[in-house]
Amino acid sequence: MPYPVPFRPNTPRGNPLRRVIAPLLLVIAAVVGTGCEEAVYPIIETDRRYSVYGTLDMNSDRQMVRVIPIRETIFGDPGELNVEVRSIDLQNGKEYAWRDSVVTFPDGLVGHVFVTQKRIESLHRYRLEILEPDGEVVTWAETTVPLRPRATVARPTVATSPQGYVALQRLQWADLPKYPFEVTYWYRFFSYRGNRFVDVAMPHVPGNAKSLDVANAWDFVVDLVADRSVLDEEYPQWRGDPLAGIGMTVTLLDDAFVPPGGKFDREVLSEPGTFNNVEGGFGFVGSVGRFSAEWVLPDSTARVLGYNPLGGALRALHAQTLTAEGTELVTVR
Amino acid sequence: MRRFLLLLLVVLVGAPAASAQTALLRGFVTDDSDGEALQGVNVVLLDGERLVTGTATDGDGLYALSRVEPGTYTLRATFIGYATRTERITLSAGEIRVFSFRMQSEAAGLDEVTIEGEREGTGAAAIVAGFQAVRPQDIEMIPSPDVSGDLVQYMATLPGVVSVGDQGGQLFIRGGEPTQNLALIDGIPIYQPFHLIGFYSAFPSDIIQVANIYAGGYGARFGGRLSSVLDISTRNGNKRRFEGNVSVAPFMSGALLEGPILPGRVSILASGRMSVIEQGASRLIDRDLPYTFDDQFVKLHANVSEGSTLSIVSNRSYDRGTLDPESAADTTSNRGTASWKNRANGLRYLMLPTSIPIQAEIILSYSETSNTFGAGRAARSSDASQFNAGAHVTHYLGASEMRWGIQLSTTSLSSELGGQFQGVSTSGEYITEAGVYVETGLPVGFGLRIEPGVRLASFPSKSSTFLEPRVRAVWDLGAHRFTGAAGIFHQEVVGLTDRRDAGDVFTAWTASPLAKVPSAWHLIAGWQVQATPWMRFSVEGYRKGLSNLSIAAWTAYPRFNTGLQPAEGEVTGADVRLEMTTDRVYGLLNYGYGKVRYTAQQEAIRYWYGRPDLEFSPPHDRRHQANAILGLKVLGFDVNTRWQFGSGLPYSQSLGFDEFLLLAGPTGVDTLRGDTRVLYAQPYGGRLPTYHRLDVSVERTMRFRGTTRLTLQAGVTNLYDRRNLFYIDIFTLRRLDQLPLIPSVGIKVAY
Repeated sequence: MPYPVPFRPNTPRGNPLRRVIAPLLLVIAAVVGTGCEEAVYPIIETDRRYSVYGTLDMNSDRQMVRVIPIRETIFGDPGELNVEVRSIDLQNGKEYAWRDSVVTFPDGLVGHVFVTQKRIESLHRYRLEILEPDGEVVTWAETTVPLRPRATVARPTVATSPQGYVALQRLQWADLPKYPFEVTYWYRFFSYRGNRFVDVAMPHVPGNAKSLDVANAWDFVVDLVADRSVLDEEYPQWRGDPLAGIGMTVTLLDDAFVPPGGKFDREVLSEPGTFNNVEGGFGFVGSVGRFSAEWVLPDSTARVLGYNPLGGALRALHAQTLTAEGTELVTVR
Repeated sequence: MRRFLLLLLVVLVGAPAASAQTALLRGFVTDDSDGEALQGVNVVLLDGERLVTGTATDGDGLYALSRVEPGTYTLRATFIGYATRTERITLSAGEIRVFSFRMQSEAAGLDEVTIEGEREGTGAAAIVAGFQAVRPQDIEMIPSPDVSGDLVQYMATLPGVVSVGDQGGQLFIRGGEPTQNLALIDGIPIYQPFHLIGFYSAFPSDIIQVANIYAGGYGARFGGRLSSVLDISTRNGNKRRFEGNVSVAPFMSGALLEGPILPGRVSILASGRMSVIEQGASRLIDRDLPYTFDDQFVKLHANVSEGSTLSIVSNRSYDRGTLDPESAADTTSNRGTASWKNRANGLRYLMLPTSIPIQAEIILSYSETSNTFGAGRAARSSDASQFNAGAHVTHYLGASEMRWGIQLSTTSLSSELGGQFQGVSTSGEYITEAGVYVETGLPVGFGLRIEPGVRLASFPSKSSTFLEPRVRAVWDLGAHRFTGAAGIFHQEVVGLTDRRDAGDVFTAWTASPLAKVPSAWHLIAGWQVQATPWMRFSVEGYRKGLSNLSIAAWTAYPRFNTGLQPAEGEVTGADVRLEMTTDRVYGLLNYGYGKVRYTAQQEAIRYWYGRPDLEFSPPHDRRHQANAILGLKVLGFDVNTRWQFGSGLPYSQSLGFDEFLLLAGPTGVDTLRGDTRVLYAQPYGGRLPTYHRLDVSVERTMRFRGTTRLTLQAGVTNLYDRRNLFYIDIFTLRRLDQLPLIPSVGIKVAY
């Protein structure tokens, strides 16, 4: 054993500790006297009462948010939720009442989903409020609905090369300050077999999306020849059916709908307060809009690419269909 | 480093040349009655009445007197309670003599007399730069629900040693995690040295010869752990006659047998204990105590020759228990039944070559642990097994000595973590570590002794090699002693625990998940004074820095899933001890201040707490603790009392619970259940209530014909029935208390 070093006290006979024992016992007795139980309560009082999640949707007549009371234990059984939910259009001061719709999830957890039958308007700011029975607004959140962007489509450019045709078409979305949350696009055919229009969603988003020098605009360049190859290889059933149009939908989220770090990372976002715009609680209330535009290829370009253009009667039907869908028919310029 | 190696070479080459003109005398000193090694025997060589040289025996009873001029001397060996032994010794130039001898008790023939002399380095206030030697007699001073007492009960009275509860079996030593403590039993690593119920070690105190506790600043011989060393030397077993004992107590009962296999040469010491807590203590207090544990220990010791010994040791322990039976029945809980198995097997060969002036020690060992926790989807398990080979050599250099050695270990690790500690490799891993060290003791003069050392620690799996300088110093100045220690330490195989939940006692052994090897530095300075012949006072301050730690990530997802985050730690503390010893009274007052701070880095906490680094006190940050121990011998009874006090431990409060819905775009909230989430407040921002408890025991030993002794013990644990909080389950707000008032009666028959 390397470290013990001699240090040996001489132990005398006798009991000189008598003077020490009595005070020691007194000290112990005094502290024992303070031995009453101390309560501990691990829940910190907070003015955050509810967590609220939801996305107001411009494209829906029905809005919904989930209201979750902040509870003291892990067991999730809120039972009856005695609150009122209302929304206010801050543009015009109009109030809308929401009603509770209880849903039960497969594991038995009860959720309170509040709904209202109301469309929301582009650029309007809405305030959602949770009121307790005494009328006090305890939790609230605000969201501004995204601006509707404008689409313009340029005439396609068609050229020949040793490999064949090169056909490109440019679509520009103006009033679009950032790249959309989601972009989808499709080719629409008229099916004689089903006697209806059918959309074929393309598996990829047009490349070369870039921000223009002018503020708030994004360009998408559609490679018509490449798309034709995809359609031939993956969707041969539409060969021969007339092509009605090409369309694109951009999904826009409100300006606050941006996760920290730019990623919807569950581990990060689950940290309370991380992705939060709810006052007096936790959660996020945002708004979303989906904007669609469709255009018709010039007949000459369609034929060069091997499509059959849509006939006159079907063109009118096509326009009616788009109107019913809320999809803008964009004139190619 | 190059200079150091050069010096080492000079010393190694030069030492035999120097000793060629002088003689070396060494050997083992044993107790005549049972053949047990005697530690702390003063062995001196006298030329007439002139002191030529002298030393004290170590834990193996080994003494060595080197660089003795040729001549005839009187060897005198003295030890409290033993008859002085004198021999005439003639030594010639270059002679290497092995002279082992036995010492007789002053009450030879009265075997029942217990020798309780003050031995070297012992006494609660005799702390030497974090080092403290604990004898079985010290352990017996602590009231325990067992006739024999237990080492863990003693350790829990030391300032700077924090136990988070009387269940869980974990001790934090001067800010270090339990898995940062190296526990050795006869040089063999033991992963889980304590039973699940906090009153018992994984071996009985009856087998302990001495337990050396290094609370920090340990020498270069020890490596692979960041915080502390518990180095236990066990007894060898009686080589003269068979002895044994049987004890029955409300928590644990056991038996011990020892005796000669070859009288005077080979002995066996065997012990077995098993819990009776469910049949005993549980009924006494009418509370469910679902704990089962047992341990077995066997040691064979052989005096192979006059100058060599061989010991073979095997220790096994098993624990199974449920800290919170109600929680275990809750399917949303990750708590449940904990169980662990430990095995430590090894051999130690100690030899004194007759041709070269060294002492050599070879240790081969195999240790393994297996622990499981919880049930269902939250069930977790972790297995670790380690093979160790070490050789230690001591060169005698007159008044000083130099030790060097080499250690190799390979550890096999595998885990099933059930979603916990994500990112940690759970498949089989093999980790190799190598260490080479050299250390020496230099008597500088004026009572100052410095023990510098250095360890070269290599971790091939991390492609890292570190130089770990260590130094210890003792300066005796009359009645005063000043001590100090410092060093750098590394640990690659780490134990991961989720300290966010005090009810979670699972440890996952793994290679450090970080690219860097966890490291620490220690700094210790102390002073002690023998104020009166019966009173000693000591003060010691310490600081530790911990780097590259991996702790459970701070996540809002409760219980099941968690990742890890890197952390740094800093420990600052001081101990004050006042010890009083007379024939009939023993008293100890101690106070410990400690502050442990962790700084963690995790991307997510930046958003919740508003800063990228989160500084907090981990749950073992007990700022203040005090102990008062009083032992009295009254009318043939031993009356022992202990009062413990500890300030509240940190715990995490919350704002409550909700469900988190990931709105990754427009999402229908009517179909999204969400993940249940805990809204943690500042990590460990709350403090639990203070802890205090008074234990009392009364014991009397009666002697019968022959050597039979009957010991009766009665005691009360938690005399004033303090409702000490173990932990509060913040998920359910249920409170789990530590053990209430428990009366106990024990009986032990020794023969």
